[in-house]
Amino acid sequence: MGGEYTYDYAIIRVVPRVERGELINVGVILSCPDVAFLEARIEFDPSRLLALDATLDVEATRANLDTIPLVCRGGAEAGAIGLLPQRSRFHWLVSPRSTIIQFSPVHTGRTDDPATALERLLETMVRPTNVSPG
Amino acid sequence: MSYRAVVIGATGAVGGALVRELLASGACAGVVALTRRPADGLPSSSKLAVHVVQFDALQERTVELASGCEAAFCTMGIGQPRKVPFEEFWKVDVEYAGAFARGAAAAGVRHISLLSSVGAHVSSRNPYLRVKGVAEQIVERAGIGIARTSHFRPSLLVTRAIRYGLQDRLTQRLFPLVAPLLPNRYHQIRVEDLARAMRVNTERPGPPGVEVLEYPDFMRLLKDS
Repeated sequence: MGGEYTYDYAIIRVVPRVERGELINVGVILSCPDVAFLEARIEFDPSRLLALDATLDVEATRANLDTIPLVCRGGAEAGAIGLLPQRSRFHWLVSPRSTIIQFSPVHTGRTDDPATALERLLETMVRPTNVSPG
Repeated sequence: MSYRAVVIGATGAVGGALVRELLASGACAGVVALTRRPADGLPSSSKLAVHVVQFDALQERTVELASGCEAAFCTMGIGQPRKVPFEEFWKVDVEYAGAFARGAAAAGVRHISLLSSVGAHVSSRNPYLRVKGVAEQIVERAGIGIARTSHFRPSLLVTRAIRYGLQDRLTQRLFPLVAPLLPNRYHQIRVEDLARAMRVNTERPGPPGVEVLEYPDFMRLLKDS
């Protein structure tokens, strides 16, 4: 638990068929109010999602995911939500919902560099792990 | 003033005393207690609703169950942090507290009180006090809907029963002997008195924002009650 700043994060997930509950992690959102940091990074791999549901509307899903970094950046471009304070936008985004795009429960950590923490979370929680062929 | 309260940590010493305080208060119209396991020690009362909750979904369950509550109390915490892995301590004292606070904020709670510890600070060298400091910070950031946040920072909690064996017995016996030599913020307090101070503080008008209360503040609240 090293680091100077407290941050919260949630994993962004796509659940192609909500009733089945199967999901793929596609991104991370991280908020660190100490340094006014709110950023989401999406790494969207359609092939992983299509393996769960071949009928998934990939482009619609991609478009919906693209709104998450937009809301993080804030401003009128993100609509009414974009005009809320930064921390409120984080709360709004990560609030529990039962849609195709969901967020994990929020977790908390400490870091000296939120951008590095975000990259580390993407590496450990989102990117496919490389498995050597047996 | 009439209000409803949601409490997490009601199976602990402070939380149990707090629930009894709230049930006895004429101003408190109802209490919702969220627990991880059945709360056998709590009194039965038509004012009290106990819900056993899966804490992995604590935020969304709090949103649902705290609906209609104006006040929230978080008295949850690991009793003996040295006896559990640090990750478990962090999960209970920081992540569950944060999930509860965010859920309470989303449910419309306006005032949240957190049981913290004297000396809590995010930069403390002491891991216990650092975790408590982060918990305070996370609760403060739970949502703009919460108008008032009260951090209660007691020193030694005096309980009727010895909860944690020999070390607890020795501490409960010896600490009161040295406490008069320490600044009064470090004085011990009975859990029943702390619970009363938390209840009284909620029932008095307070300034918006974050307030930190220590032993002298507890005594003032008890004197005024």
